[in-house]
Amino acid sequence: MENISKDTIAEAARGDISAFREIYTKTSAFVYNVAFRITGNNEDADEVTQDVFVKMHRNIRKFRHMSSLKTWIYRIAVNTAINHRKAGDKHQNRRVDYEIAEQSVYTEETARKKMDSEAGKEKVYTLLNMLNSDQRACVVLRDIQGLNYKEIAGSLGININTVRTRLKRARHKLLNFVKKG
Amino acid sequence: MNCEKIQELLMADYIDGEANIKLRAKIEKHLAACDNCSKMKEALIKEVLDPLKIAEKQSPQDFVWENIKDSIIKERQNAPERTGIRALKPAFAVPILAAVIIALILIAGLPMAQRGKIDSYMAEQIEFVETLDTDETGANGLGTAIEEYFFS
Repeated sequence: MENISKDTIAEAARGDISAFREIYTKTSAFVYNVAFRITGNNEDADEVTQDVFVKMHRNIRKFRHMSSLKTWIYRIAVNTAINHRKAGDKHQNRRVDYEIAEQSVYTEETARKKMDSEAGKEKVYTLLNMLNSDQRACVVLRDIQGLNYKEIAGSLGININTVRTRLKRARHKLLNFVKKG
Repeated sequence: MNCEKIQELLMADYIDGEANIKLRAKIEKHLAACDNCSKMKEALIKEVLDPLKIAEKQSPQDFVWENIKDSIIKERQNAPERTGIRALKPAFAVPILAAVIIALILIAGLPMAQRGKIDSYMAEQIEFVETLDTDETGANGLGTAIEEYFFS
């Protein structure tokens, strides 16, 4: 995520739309990618991104520094994306519990068939779909966005040991899945 | 350290660069001697981490910003105009309101305090005017003896 000056944040807080646009330009790719990897499709990622930046505009006065804004963006992007996905699943009468979903709706066999038939980008989608929402959020922030444990813990409001445990379990699961293939 | 412990560390701290130098050295020493753990590490990197790390990064399309801008403009138009005391932050509003109330009490209190002085001043003046009507000069209210001579 690119750095944003204190002045730009202050101008945006005073209602300057071009300053807010600058913040958007520098942070929207992060928000969009997190949203896309968690929700799994572009339409939901569009909606999550819009939602995040409208919320950001409402709260911009609270941020005086890039560091607080950055942590807030990480957290709000992940939470909004997870909630959006959960709401979408409920709407479609899908099971919210991804552990159960993995065994029933999205079995390893169907996942593997999908992975065999589609290349690179679909592989990412398939791997992420094997994980529950908590594990997926950690994997997206660590392996796709490159955040360290401390940043992930701050973003998700959990401690570093929980980050470590979620990543371990997620990777065990993914490694077992690809090994069976 | 046994293979189980090494593989636990491989799954997170080692692979993520969160292990300290000492721990890293121990793990690497074990990997150099253990084919099983070494293979597991290679599989984890190649089959799981690499596909995620090289995942295509995307950017939102232009319409996303247009929608955000429209929402912001709508919110601004619908927001009630904050004027007077409502425009103040709550942290400032309370002390300012208290100061205004105190000032009003003081202002309202001022004439009441002054009223006694005014009353006594008026009483003095009335008494003075009344003395003018009495013939203390011996001229029956016409003034001095000379005035009495000319005006009577």
